[in-house]
Amino acid sequence: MDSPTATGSGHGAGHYVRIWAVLLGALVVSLVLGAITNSPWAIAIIFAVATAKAALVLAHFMHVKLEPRWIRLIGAGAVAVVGVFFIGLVPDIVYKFGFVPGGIQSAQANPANTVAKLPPDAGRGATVYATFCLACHQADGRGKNGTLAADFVSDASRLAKPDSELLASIANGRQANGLSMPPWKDALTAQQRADALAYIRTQFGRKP
Amino acid sequence: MSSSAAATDLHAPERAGDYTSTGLPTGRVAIWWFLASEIAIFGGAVACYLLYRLHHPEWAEQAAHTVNAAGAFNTVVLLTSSLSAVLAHHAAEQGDGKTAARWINWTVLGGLVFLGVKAWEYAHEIGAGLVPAKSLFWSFYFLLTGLHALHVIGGMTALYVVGRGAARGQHLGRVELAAIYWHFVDVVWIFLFPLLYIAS
Ligand code: HEC
Repeated sequence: MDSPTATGSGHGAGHYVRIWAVLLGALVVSLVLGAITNSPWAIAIIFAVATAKAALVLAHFMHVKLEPRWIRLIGAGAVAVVGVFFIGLVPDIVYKFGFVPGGIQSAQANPANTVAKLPPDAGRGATVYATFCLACHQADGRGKNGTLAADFVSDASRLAKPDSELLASIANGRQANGLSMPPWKDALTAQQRADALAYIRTQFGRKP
Repeated sequence: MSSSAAATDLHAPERAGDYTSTGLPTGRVAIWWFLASEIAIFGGAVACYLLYRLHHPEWAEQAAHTVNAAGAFNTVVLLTSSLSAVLAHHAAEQGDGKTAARWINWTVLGGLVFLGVKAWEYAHEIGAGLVPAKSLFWSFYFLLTGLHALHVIGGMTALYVVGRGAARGQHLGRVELAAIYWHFVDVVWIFLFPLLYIAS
């Protein structure tokens, strides 16, 4: 182990100036790349360059290499904690709908995504409704008396429309009277949209 | 421990307790321990930003409003101030407090220039309505750059105090500690610049 007092790298001032020049060169590379393209590989290179720059500063300006190993482990431990934090949250934040059964990922897996394969099922639809529609349409289907969303119960004209029209509204979204419903065609599969409509009809429709 | 009590030993104990039981000067253990906590602070904030950014590719449009030229200029300023900080450390190691103090002054000046440019950017952005409440991207932008700017101010203060001592030939061992902190602030910016400016 190095004597703990010998933190000097033994380098002359010229060495530090050379490192600085390399750092500036790396900056220019990132700037040029960033200016000509924003393709994913360019961004990957830009972050690789940033990591290399940080490593140069750590090694040559901060003299990390001359510290005892346990000091470096303290830093590495902190980095590892941040890494675990990041990886643990990726499913929740980056792929928000990733863990909803048959959520956004299955919608993407079926790009045409216009026909439901199975007959609509109100039971499955209840889950979709609870997850995606409840916030606006509410548990009683009245959308706070139509102030948040369409009121399926009091306004009979809503569910009097044919399935094809309602499914189109759900897929493409709707705007009226300052209220709006987002389009669901990318976030949900055709199956999920048909199931949700089946649930709405059985739950809130006029019983024949 | 082989604590070589040579005449050039900058970390020679001045008081009882100046060395830890590991044989390292207390200040060096403390500065690294402190930086580890800083990694958790900046790392946590940057990780959150990255997660949301990956979920919202459309933020690239908002990131395009940050002024690349100002960010690039400030990167040059910080890298250069790190160079003068390490040169101050180098001089202190050779027992030359006066030269160390001069290099430290350059580093502090670099910090001032950095903050001046940053203040101009903030004024420009806020004037254009790009305030923290505008969107999640701008919240993150002001959080990350603001936290970083506070660290720049803290580093400048520490360097200034250490530099005044060094000019009188006192506590030359502290020059290294303040410089290590300054380099860390530089490293954080090395990542913030591409995260908030270039990648748009
Ligand atoms: C952001 C709030 C919001 C959410 C979430 C929402 N809706 Fe709506 N929905 C509305 C509003 C507002 C209307 C009424 C628009 C109008 O007046 O035509 C509406 C209308 C409808 C209609 C009637 C359309 C028509 O043609 O009259 C159906 C059916 C419907 N929503 C189904 C759903 C389903 C299924 C979901 C969940 C997948 C859902 N909504 C989620 C706000 C929402």
